[in-house]
Amino acid sequence: MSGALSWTLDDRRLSGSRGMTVLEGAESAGLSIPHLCRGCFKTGGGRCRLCTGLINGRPRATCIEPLAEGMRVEFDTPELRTLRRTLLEILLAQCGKDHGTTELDAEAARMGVQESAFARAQACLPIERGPGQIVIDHARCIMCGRCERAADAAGAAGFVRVIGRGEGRRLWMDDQVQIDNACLGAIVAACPTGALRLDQSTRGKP
Amino acid sequence: MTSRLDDLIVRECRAHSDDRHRLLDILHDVARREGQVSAPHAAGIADRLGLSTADVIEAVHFFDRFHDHPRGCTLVQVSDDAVSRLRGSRAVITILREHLESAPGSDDDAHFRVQPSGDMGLADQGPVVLVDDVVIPEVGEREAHVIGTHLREGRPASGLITSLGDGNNAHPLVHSAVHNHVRQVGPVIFRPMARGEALRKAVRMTPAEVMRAVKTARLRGRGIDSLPTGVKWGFVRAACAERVESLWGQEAAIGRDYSREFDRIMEVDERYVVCIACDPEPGSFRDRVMLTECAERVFAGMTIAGYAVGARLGLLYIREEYAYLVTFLEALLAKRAEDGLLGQDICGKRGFDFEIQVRLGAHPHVLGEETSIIAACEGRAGAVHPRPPYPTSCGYLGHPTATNCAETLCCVSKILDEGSGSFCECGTSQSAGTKLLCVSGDCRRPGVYEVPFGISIRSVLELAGAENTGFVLLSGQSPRLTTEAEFAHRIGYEHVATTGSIQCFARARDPLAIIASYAQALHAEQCGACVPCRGGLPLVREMLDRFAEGTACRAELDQLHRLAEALRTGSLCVLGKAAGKFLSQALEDHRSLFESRARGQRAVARSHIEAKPRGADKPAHAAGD
Repeated sequence: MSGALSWTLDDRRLSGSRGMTVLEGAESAGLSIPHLCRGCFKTGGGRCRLCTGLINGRPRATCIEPLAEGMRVEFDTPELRTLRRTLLEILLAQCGKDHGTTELDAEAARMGVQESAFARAQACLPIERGPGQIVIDHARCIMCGRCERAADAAGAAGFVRVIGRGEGRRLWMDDQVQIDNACLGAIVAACPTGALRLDQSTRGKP
Repeated sequence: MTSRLDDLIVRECRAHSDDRHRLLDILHDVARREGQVSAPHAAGIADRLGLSTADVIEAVHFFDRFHDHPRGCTLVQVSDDAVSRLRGSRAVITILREHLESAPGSDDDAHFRVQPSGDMGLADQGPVVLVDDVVIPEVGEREAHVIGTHLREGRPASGLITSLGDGNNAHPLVHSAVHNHVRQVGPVIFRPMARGEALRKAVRMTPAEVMRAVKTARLRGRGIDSLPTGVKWGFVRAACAERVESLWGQEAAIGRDYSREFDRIMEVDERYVVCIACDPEPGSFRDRVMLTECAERVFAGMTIAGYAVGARLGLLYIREEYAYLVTFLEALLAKRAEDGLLGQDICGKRGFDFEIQVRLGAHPHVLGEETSIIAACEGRAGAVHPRPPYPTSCGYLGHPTATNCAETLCCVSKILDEGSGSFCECGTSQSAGTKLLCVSGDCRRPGVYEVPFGISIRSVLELAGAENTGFVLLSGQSPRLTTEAEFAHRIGYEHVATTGSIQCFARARDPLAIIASYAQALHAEQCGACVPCRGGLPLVREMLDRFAEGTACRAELDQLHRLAEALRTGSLCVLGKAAGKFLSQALEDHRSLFESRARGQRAVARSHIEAKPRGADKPAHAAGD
């Protein structure tokens, strides 16, 4: 089944192979497409919509769209640039700016988004002590689900989950699940916004 | 965990044969008995069904119906959508609260909790009060006092039904005060039809011939995705063929023996039919009327779909407000099985087995988004799943699934019964057949109208007795608030496409308030899986409220444009796209009005934005409050 195929990204002729997503195809050609929710995982994605491109003229998330022969992908258009800015500003309106060390801030810097136009009265979301040494800053969480997938990969499926719906979505952790520090570290490392960190000062729950 | 809790969980799970895919039914029952599904409940249920606690917690928190802490044993829901508000739902809520809640807001130890809800699938007879599966339509202030006193005295809600509705609403198994309000009967949906005839004719044909008949009739989906039904079924069959082929190849390479291979093929070859009958759009109630009056035709359509795609199980997904219909529907299904119209060797066709199960859903329905409905049918939280893969190749339990709405399946019955030719007789060249329209709002005869495609909006208004109408809100993939200048437009896929909800508003109504309330209704249905919807719709809603109040500033107009565009191109599913298209269109159509309401350069007033922690409260599909 695995065969080479040719496709175009913004008039650039590229080759890829079957089974890749459009985003993987672009990355294998050394081009970078911004994305937050996919991370380094093969599955999931399609939620932050930052990677949206026009695939044969229709808007699609490139991180989940399979590459096909003769596919025509537009990415660097004025409309899509505006879309990406708007999406980032929506996220920043919720998260606020951090110290510029997270993936979210890096994307913002790369697109030159200084501040969100959509400033709104911030609901005071708590910073919560989770199981083990984990600390959850709910305001910074963008519900990308990367921590869920990291937990799955580390054999702790069901430890962390995005629950609720609409505006009420938030991160939930199961304190009944036994989890080791290596696994916690992997989960924290998967977070693109710094919403999760490990508190080294104390051991266990206060 | 106490042993009482243990017993309860074991009993409820066993009642649904410990089937994890029936988690929603189990949660409904537990919530009804306990008033909550707390963390110990969730852990117990997860343990019993072999799920992780996270799976159960996720479902509890996703659906508005369930709460993880006590919210008063009995929930009294009042429809508070745009149309109910025109008819005084706010006064009803106030009266009921005076009667039933000792101190508004403090709900911890109360026996009742009055909750304003969004659309309930009863827009033609609002305001509606829903208590314990009992629906009380057309509640005015006088009725609200009666209901309040009745419930406060501890009498059962069923005693509130003083007169029964028309048609099957008076059936002993339905016993409901709801009215059908079928105002115009057309040739396709409500015209009487010989029972079982369509199905008998279908099984005399091959599945391919059935699909061809549906294609020849040019039947397109009556729900939000207007794909030709025959094409959709074709995708399901193609996906099956692909699966089997890939497996045969794989198995041959490994060299396993034939019998095992055959079992595996049967296993991968599962496919399903899901009928979306939950009136997912604000202002729609056609599914309610079809399930009451022509459920047999919906079941026949599902069975024919099952025959065409090769499925053996069909799921009928209905909304929680229609719980009063479940016993009736299950009795009809049992009768069909007795008569050989369901079960094994249907209509004497060897090897054609099909079964139908009713699944009671819960809010939100995300405008009937397939992936969300399928997740709910599987007993999972109904957040939208990014596509691809599409449900036609990877749907219910990961198998190819045909999702159709009830109206489409009724059309299928008609096509098989009387032939493609007679189906195409009404309608236009590109929109064959008839359409059910649910008219509500400022009109004298709200209800269901079966009209041929090609009818103008003005003719519909005349039928419904809507005089002095200034604005009409049409639901669909591109919902829009039309003005008088567009009333000459025709309804059809090639003209103005709609899924059937027609809300009329008099000239005196404020269009910006209507736009704001529709955005609110869409916001109340969203799942929050993608950024444009989760982060964008709340912003849109707040801004539109400010425009309606006249407290917005000019800069917000540009921001609305950008958000509309982000929703339209960036959203994961049809709901966000619909919201974006609605907003773009509204900004274009009512530009001068928006501009006149913006107060120029000015700081944004934020006093009315409630600063409460996310997820702390869950009024969720509650409108406004």
